[in-house]
Amino acid sequence: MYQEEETSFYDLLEISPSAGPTEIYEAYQRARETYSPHSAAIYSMFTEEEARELLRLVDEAYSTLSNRSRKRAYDLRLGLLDDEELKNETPNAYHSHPNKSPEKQDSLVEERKVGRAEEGWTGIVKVHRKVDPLPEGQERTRFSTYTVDAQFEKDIEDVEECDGSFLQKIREYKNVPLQELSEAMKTSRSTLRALEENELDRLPVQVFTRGIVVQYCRMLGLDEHKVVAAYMTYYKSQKST
Amino acid sequence: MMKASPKLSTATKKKVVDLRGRIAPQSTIIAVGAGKGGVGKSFFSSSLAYFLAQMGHKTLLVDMDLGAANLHTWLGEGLPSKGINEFMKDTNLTIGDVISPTMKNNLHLISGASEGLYNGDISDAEKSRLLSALYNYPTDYIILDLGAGTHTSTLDYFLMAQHHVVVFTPEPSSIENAYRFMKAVFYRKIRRYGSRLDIDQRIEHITKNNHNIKSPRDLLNTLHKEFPEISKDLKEVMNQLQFQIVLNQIRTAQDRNLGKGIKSVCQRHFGLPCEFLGALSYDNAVWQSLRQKKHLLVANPYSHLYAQIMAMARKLADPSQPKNMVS
Ligand SMILES: Nc1ncnc2c1ncn2[C@@H]1O[C@H](COP(=O)(O)OP(=O)(O)OP(=O)(O)O)[C@@H](O)[C@H]1O
Ligand SMILES: [Mg+2]
Repeated sequence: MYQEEETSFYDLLEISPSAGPTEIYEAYQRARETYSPHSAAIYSMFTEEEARELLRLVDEAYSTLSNRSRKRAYDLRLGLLDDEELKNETPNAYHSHPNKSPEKQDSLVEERKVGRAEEGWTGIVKVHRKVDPLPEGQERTRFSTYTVDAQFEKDIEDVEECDGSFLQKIREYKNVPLQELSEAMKTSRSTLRALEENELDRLPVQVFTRGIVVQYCRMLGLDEHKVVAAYMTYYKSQKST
Repeated sequence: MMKASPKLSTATKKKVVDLRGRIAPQSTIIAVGAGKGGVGKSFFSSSLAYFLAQMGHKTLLVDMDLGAANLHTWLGEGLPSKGINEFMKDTNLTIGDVISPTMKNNLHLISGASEGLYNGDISDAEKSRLLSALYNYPTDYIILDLGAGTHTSTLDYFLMAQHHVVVFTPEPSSIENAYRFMKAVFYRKIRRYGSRLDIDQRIEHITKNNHNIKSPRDLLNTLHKEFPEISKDLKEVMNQLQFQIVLNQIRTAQDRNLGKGIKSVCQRHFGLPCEFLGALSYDNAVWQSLRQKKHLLVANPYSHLYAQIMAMARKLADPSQPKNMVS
């Protein structure tokens, strides 16, 4: 359902988004040479397969960035065009509620947010592409679909301190079976149950527990910073007593 | 990062304390490493030192190749009577006691020669004494010519610098060894300097949870995402490590592209900004002048190498040079 692809083509070709056609072409030639199977530069750094994949990406980058309209669409998806520009072009996309806007614009908004939030070390941007439209009032996790409950969404948004049972409530609200979550997180069911049932003594040391909660939130599509902090507040208050 | 301005005379330089209460080094320290012996570390270090001195900077060249030092030969100097070995053996000596002047104005040398001293024989306390003596020695530039290999002491000497130069040649074995050296440096850095961030535990946690981590960059990205609370500190620590690549002994114009390619590959692999400092031609004049016991830049100022090295010295010495830091 979710596809995760690593893209900033600009990053891959080591050019700035404002680079002109000649610069793009030269960068492309250079990248092709660097990642070619016989290049000495990749020797012992990338496997043949990784190099092939990089070459494929380099070609894709060039075919996208060398074409004006494709480049534009790509920039839009990365959120590189400024708000004004975007507003003028697709007036509904940025401001309307995602659930109510037409599907195409809906996913555009999603990607914009993701593209901005997840800047990595060298400005690599992960772009998530959403597929299959959903009926109104429905949302999805990677495991399930569920009916949006505005009140509960607000409770989650406002949470400042929460225990494991609150996490469980969210999971059940989103129709995510414990078994599937456990498999996806590569974390045992009994650990997840200990988390949800507040059996802190059966949980690993703090950094690991925190890691589990981070993943748990991410799997459920929650604002991880908020919810993890809320849970850790609870966790610490329990540990200190 | 604090950078000593070359314009300041050493006497007026004060100890500068950064925000964390660490004392900034009393000079700009440039480390020159490589994975393999014989690629041209000593040639590059001595040439760079020569130009920095020429540009009017007080420069100290240190032969850190403790096992097999020969830097004095590159400068056409005789073997100094004191050097690193003496400093290590006699704790009453200061670093100033083992510095020798050279024929070149502004250029000083700490020799590493005389009988062999091995990395493995040096205790942590001795290593710290040497590192802190160099760190606190007030001058404009200190250039560390390191030995080959990935001994932890070598990695620590390399990491104490603000500039991290890695010398490559176009041969696959040199490239492979240089990459191995850089990987060792990366992991030493993240483990040692990240220890206050519980890095070991976190890395273990990440690898146990089966993330698909194939490179240092994947590791950084995952750490950064899994543990947003340390992300800022981690970035600050790791951004201090920006490799500067020198490709020595090139014979064709194509080799020059190789230098840029190596930089791209490193950037992709480590997820940290790297820089291609420049390429140096292969020139028989290098060993011919060595045989004449003169530095190439003195014996043969018409070599291509003269301009190539000067350009690199200028790049390294210019404090206004923009550094492409990751935010
Ligand atoms: N650009 C060059 N052109 C021609 N010969 C070179 C060049 N650079 C280095 N050499 C030759 O390569 C040999 C090794 O150089 P150098 O001693 O600088 O390497 P090194 O990396 O310091 O080696 P070690 O690890 O043994 O200290 C020297 O004998 C020198 O003559
Ligand atoms: Mg040497």
